[in-house]
Amino acid sequence: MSGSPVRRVTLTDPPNQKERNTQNLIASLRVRLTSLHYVSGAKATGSIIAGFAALGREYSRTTVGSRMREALNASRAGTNARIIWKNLRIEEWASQHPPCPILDQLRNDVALLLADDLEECLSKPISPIQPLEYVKAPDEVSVNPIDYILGLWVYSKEFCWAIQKLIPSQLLSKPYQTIASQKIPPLEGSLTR
Amino acid sequence: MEEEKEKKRITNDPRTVLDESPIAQIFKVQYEYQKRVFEDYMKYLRMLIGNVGAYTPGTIIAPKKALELEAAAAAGSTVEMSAEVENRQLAYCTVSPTITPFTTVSGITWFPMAEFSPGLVLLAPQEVKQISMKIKLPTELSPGLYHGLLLLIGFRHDGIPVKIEVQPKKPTALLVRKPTEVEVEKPTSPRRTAKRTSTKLKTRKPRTKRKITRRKTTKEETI
Repeated sequence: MSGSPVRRVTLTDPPNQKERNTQNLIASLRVRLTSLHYVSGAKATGSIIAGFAALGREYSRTTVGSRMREALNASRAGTNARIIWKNLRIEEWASQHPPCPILDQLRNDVALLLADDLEECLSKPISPIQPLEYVKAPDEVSVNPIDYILGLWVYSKEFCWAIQKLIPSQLLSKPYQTIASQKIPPLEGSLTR
Repeated sequence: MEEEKEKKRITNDPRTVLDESPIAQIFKVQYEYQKRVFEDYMKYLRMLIGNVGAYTPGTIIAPKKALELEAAAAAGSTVEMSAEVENRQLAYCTVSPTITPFTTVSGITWFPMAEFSPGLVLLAPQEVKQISMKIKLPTELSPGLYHGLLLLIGFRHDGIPVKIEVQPKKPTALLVRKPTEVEVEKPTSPRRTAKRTSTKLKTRKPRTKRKITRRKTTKEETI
């Protein structure tokens, strides 16, 4: 067995974008909630479906993803999913919507739950949303049911893991015990006799 | 007059009815209008969600030229590589490592199964953690230089290049057997062997059935 020396991967903020701090994460969540007032439920759902499919498409590049994709394609579930999507025209409908960055949103929400300065940032006055630079709307990409299933799987895996990480391990290992603070008075009346 | 009557004739042909009737015209105009409204609405929606998407803070991998993982091992063994991940953002960051299929110049594609430790990493601001990756090289894997990528899902990046040089499998001690003394033969010339065989053939006696002669009994002898 031989290995290469340890290399360092540095994670930073994307260029020309606001830095990822608690203040901006709150602002992002606020924008997300506000935008729901301007779109219908169908549009929001369509965008979420397109977002899951985009995640599944990204994961299909990996070894596990490509294997799962092939297995799903060959299975009855895959065939039935394609039939349902074709007959109910889900593919046509979901493909029209821009994909929502669901994984980024999940990670940002997790970061907000773990933030140390949350109360301090929330107590600050709401800064008006600054105008953004022109961003090209995402191109229309065909949404595949297999990509959607795969995306849901990746998302759920990270979601479950994140919840487990949010709970301190000391609290989980602590023996669970409930102690009644007050003595329950005995019931009185004819019915209990 | 007859010609004019013919022109005003109402037919039951559905195509003519749809094209000419005033109701059909209204429907057509309404359809065009609704279609345009829908298209404009979709454009607006795409722009709106595009902006919301842009407003979602994300994470990227800082570009580095020399960032590449390398390893070399024989087929059948396990390769271990590690990388440190540093979070330079001001919020917690989740890292989900995975790998792509590996390919060679000759066109061989290998789908390795990698084991990451830890599988998912939660990094606090300015924290550094190590991720190690174990890849088992199958015994059937042909030797060569395999190229692949270490992907960190969701980081808007192509991935970190990974090179694995698969060396030919070394013969193991168990499989190598020393020839015994009996098996070792002196090299003999073909001429000599031919002579030997020929003599053998000459001297060899043909097999004959043994004659079973009955031994005379004492009584017979006396008679």
